[in-house]
Amino acid sequence: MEKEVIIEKINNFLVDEFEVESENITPEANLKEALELDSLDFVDLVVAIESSFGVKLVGEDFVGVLTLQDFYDLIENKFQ
Amino acid sequence: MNLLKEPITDQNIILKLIPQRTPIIMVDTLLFFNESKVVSGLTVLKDNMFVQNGYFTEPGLIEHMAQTVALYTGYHFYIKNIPAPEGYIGAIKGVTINKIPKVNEQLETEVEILQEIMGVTLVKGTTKLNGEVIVTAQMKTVLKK
Repeated sequence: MEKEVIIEKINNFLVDEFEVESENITPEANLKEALELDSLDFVDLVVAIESSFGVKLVGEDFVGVLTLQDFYDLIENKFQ
Repeated sequence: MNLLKEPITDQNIILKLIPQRTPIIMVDTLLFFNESKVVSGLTVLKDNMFVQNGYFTEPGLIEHMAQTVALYTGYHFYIKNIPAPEGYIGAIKGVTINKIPKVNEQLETEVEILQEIMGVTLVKGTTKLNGEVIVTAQMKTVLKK
């Protein structure tokens, strides 16, 4: 899957399902602080991403994932 | 596949699998465990703190389901010889309760692990009474940091 498609889908999830303000969605945005996603939200985001992209994510995947760019990269790597 | 050789009914072991203590222990048997599913049992005793007028009330059913998740997490720790971690219910949605059990009835609750990440476990739970589904819910439990 192309990186642009991954980014667009993730961003749409954030806006539509998690009510994140679109102006806050930048690659360097910190998932917890800038996007105000707590760990309970994050689990829902992960399940939505798994369902949409057909990938399986585990806890170890998120070691070092701090920003939205890290998250884009994680999903992209799942397709490689 | 069940990773247990046989159900765990010894209350001393159950106490090692969950952080709760009397009088708020709402599981008495671990029937099934694998990486994606756990099944617990509970016989409703008359002195259970959630029993009122001979019936096991709704909060007890929710706590029973939450402690089934605790069994899942606790068994992971137990096999590593680490004490069961404390946790709490972070969110519940889609709760349907069709029936309230009576004293002496036996509950069986199956919890499917949907995701486990950053100390949060997202599950889908089903409680049965004599094979009849009486509770369904989706729940998030959170490990205490």
